[in-house]
Amino acid sequence: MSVSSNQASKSIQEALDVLKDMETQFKILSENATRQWQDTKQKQFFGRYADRYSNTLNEFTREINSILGQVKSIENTLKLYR
Amino acid sequence: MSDIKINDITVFGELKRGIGMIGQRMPGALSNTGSSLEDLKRDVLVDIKETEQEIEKQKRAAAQAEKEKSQGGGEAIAKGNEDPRANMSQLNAKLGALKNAFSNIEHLLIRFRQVKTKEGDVFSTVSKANLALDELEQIARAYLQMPATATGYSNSGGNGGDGYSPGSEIRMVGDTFHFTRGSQLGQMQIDKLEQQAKQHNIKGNKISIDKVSSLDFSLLEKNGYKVQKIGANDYSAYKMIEK
Repeated sequence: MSVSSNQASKSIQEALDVLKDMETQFKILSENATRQWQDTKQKQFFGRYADRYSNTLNEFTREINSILGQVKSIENTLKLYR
Repeated sequence: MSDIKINDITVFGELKRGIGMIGQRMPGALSNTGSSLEDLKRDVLVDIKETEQEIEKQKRAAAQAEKEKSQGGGEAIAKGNEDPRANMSQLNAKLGALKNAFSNIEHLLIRFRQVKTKEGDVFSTVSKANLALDELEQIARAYLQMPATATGYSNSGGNGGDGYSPGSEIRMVGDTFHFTRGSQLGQMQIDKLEQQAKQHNIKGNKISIDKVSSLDFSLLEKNGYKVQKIGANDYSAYKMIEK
């Protein structure tokens, strides 16, 4: 049996962990940075600027998470034929 | 520019660090996901081919068993031998699952490639964002007349608790918060000066800006400062601190 679905899901899980870690770190950095502004309007402007990247990271994380879920499902199905 | 109010100029560097991190770590994470899917697809394809071959083998074995059965007129499959028809049924089920998995992986790869195209968009905005943040920081520093590393006023100097060393740009002398105008004087500097006076709870009555130019008069007066002639072409401006 040459199917290596375990390895695939493990590798994708590691990639997902990197993305999640980045998302968390970026959130902290951008929140700290946004907090430094005194003026509310500037805070909002700067916050939106930081949010763009937070949202993008979140989108990547969600997509990879969904792909991982399906790879795991494939893995479980193929396990039945071992 | 008069609206720019920040507590700490490191705001730009912090966000740059975060955006830079995305540019550095994201490609590796996405590349690993893509290659894992490609490897999985390849492995499933190999398994499909091998299973198809195994089905053909079982078909031949089943045909042979049938032949022997018809020739010998008895049970073709000896006890302990596997039934090729039962094996074929299992292999066909497995082949179906593998083909379904292969199709799903292909769809996942299409989805993944769509995600990958967005990666390029992110990178192009990362460099633009970093350039914009660099420019914003430069503007802020020029406005505040801050060197590259200084982000505040010296709080040391041992001069008895006023909080400002004798050599710094801002000095507390008597009841006055003194500041010597540098090469530029703008609204942001004035705001920062007043903000610093409030933040440090200066026990003074007045803010004084020395060496002002006639070009500064309107800006200073707009901010409630009174211009004072010290000598020929030599002016200062001051403002009483609101208690």
